[in-house]
Amino acid sequence: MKKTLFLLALAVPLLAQEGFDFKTLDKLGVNAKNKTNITLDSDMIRLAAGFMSKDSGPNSIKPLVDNLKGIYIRSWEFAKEGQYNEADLEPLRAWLKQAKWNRIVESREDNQSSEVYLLRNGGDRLGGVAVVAAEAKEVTIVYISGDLKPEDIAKLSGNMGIPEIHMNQGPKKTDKKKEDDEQQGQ
Amino acid sequence: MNLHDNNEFEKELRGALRHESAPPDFAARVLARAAALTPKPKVITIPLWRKPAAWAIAAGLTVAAVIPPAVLEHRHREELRAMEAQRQLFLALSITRAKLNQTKERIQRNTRHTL
Repeated sequence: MKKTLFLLALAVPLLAQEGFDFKTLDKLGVNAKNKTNITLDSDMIRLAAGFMSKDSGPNSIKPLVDNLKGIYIRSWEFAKEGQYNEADLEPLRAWLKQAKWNRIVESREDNQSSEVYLLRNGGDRLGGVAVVAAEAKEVTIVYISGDLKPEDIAKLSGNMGIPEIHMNQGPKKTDKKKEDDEQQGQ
Repeated sequence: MNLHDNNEFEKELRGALRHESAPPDFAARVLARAAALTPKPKVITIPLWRKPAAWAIAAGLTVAAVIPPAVLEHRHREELRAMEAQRQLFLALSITRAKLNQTKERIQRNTRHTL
C-alpha cells in the first residue's frame, strides 16, 4: 500500500508536467554570448492571435496559430567554438525518443547537426514539431505543440507574411531570475 | 336723579368715551410682544454627511471618477501584453522558419553531394 502511494506521489508531478522541462537545458547556455528564450503558452498564443488579421486566405497564418498550444524557443549564440557540450542536449533527445515523437530528418555534417521531430496524433494530424539545430557557435531548439496538419509544417517553413526578424532583436534573457520565472510559468 | 345730575353723568360718560389716538409705536410693540410670546417652531438640521442621498451621490461620483480610468488602464495594459505576445510569436515563427529552411538546405546539399 505504502509503495503504491509512493509511486502515485511520483506519478502526479510527471502527469502534471505535460511537456518537456526546458530547465534541464540551462547548462547549454552557461557560456552563451546571446540568448533567445521564448515561452508562449496557449493563453499567450490566444492573446497574440486575437490581435492578428482575421483573413482566412490560403496564406493566412491565423488558422495555424489558432491550433497551437505552446511554442518554446531556446537559442544560444556563443563567441567561440566548443563553448557548449552537445551532451547537454541529451535530456531533450531522450525525451523526444520516449514520447511518441518520430525523427523525420537528421542531418549531420562536420560539427553541425539538424534534427526534425514530429509528434503523430493519429490519422493525418500532428501533435507537434520539434527542431534541434546545433552548430559550432549556435544551438537552437524549437518546440511547437498543438493540433497541426502536415501542410502546416510546410507553412511554418514558408513566409506566411511574417516579417523577417533577427534573433538578436528578440527578448534576450540574460537575467537568470527572468529565465527562472519563465520556466516556472510553463 | 334730576336734570343736573343727568348732565353731569353724560359729561363724564363723554369724557370717558372720548377718542384717544394710540401711541405711534403701539402696533409695533403689540406685534413684538406677540412674537415674543409665540413659541418658535423647532428646526432640526441633519448634517450633510448623515443624509443617505448625499452618500449615494458621493459614491456615484467616486465610481464615475475611478472606474473609467481603471478600465482604460486595464485595456491599455492588455493591449501592450497582446502586442508583446504577438512580437514574440512572430519571432518564434521566424526562428522556426529559419531553422526548418536551414535543415532543408543542408539535406539538399548533402543529397547533391551523394548523387
